[in-house]
Amino acid sequence: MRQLFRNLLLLLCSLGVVSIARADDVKLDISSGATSRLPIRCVPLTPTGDKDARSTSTQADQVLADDLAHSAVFTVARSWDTSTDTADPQGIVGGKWTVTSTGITLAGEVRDPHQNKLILSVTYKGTRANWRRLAHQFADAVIQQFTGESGISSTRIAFVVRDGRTRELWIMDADGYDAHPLTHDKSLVLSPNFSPDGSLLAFTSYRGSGPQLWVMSLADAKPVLLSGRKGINACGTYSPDGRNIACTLSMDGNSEVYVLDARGGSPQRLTSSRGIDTAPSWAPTGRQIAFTSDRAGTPQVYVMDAEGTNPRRLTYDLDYTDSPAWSPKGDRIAFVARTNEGFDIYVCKPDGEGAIRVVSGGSNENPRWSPDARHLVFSSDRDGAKALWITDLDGTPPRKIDTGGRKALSPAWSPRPATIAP
Amino acid sequence: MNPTNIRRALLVLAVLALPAVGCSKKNVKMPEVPPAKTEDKAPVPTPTPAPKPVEEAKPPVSESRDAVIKQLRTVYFALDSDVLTSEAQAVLDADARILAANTSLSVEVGGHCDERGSEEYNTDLSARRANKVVDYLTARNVAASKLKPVPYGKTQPIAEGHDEASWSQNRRVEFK
Repeated sequence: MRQLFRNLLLLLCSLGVVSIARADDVKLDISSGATSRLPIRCVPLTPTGDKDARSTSTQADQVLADDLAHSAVFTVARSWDTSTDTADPQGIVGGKWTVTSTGITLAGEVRDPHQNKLILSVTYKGTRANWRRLAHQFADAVIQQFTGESGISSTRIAFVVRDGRTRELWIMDADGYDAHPLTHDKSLVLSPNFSPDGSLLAFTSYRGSGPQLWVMSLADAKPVLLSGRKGINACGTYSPDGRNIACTLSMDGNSEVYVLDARGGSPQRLTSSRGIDTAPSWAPTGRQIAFTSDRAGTPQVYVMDAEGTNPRRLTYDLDYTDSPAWSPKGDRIAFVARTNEGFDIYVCKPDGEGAIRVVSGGSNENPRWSPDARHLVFSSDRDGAKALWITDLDGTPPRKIDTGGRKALSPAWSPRPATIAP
Repeated sequence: MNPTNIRRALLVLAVLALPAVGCSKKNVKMPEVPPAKTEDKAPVPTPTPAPKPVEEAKPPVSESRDAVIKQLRTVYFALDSDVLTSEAQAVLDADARILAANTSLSVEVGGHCDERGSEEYNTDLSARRANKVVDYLTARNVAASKLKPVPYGKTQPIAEGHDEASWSQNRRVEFK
């Protein structure tokens, strides 16, 4: 009953938030390409409650400011660090951080400094152990307030850790926190992919016999065999509606792209070339699939209808392209191109026009979009050992995700969590 | 099912399970059921237990398995190629004679690539290399059933350098 009452309160509170947000919405046009970041200023949260309040609130200040800075929406000034000063901030972000024996409450606020008006007021409650989530939720609400779309601070990234000759599946928060393994097979893992609701991870593993397609629920992390057909079973990628899985199978002789149902059954072959066809990536409409094929000699990205019809080469400007990733907004495809210097990441429109290089230097692989399509995560050896990096696609240098010195590769970005309170 | 029926079903299960404990542990293992919560989300596939690695039968030859495997030489490939060079063919001719003389020996034919290119593309390229070797050997009287091609892509480099000296060692098919 108490739970119900609290939920009702949260609901009422969230309704209030929505009305405030509508009244004062400030929208940025990010889609135009020429993105300029909005100056915003973070002031420390005011700690109240028990003796732990001050230390956790200082950490929450950092998480919140980092989330906002990494959103690619804002230039963030931190009032506690004068080196980050920014002129004319469009919002002042702060609030109260209350720690009690039962948990933590973050009462977040954004004020318009020009009119000294409250433009956002939200309250989040959580356990002490889960305090980072409160900061992430507030950051996402601030981003939503200024852009009309929630941020991606509460998302996660699955990836593969290489340790000598073995590879395990790992997962972490998008800011690199809470990295931990999901498999302990001392075998090989490749190409993880989330289901559209974020509850499942499909991946290739050699834990059985050769490369087979497996899936695990994040709730129990138990691998379940999806496809163990003869030869290669790899690159399992859920369709946007979660009903099908595009993948690579070689049961008919060489590698071809197939679509399976979500249980791994009723394979439908989409490609039939003498070369390699692999690495499928769905358009968010589910009506087209980008993939890699070397049917014309070198590997090239192609786009076909989801039934396998009308394959066409994405671009003729580059002589080696691979690893397509269709943006969740549908308007762009990221891919890897081999150049004289190494492997670079490019982005173009789905018709192949407007290709621009967004990451270069070293060997950059497996680009994957964030759910808001503002960022790409990729693996790179640009500063030595393989690690995961994020580019904000606006000309700022990519930033490395700290995975504790582990060799990290093959990232996959989760969708936003289904339930965001309030 | 009402509660009485559930209780009855549980009782029946318990009675059935009791004698089973005595004869074989295998019989009491209930099949795993996918979580019911995900009904209206993407369906969870029926769990299938991972196949256990098959124990290698000892070959009835004078030499140990390892000693025979050691005699099988690795073949190397050009960049992005699955073509067997004349040098590779000569190596495989010798490998075929060894395998043909040890008909009970089962070997893994591991395809490998250098570090350039994606994991996904290299998995397929390494499969093509392994299959080429299997085809070549079976054409020389080695039983296909004794050869198991495994595509390792670029996951198992011999040399960790980032130059042709290392890459040329890693583009290979080796026996295990």
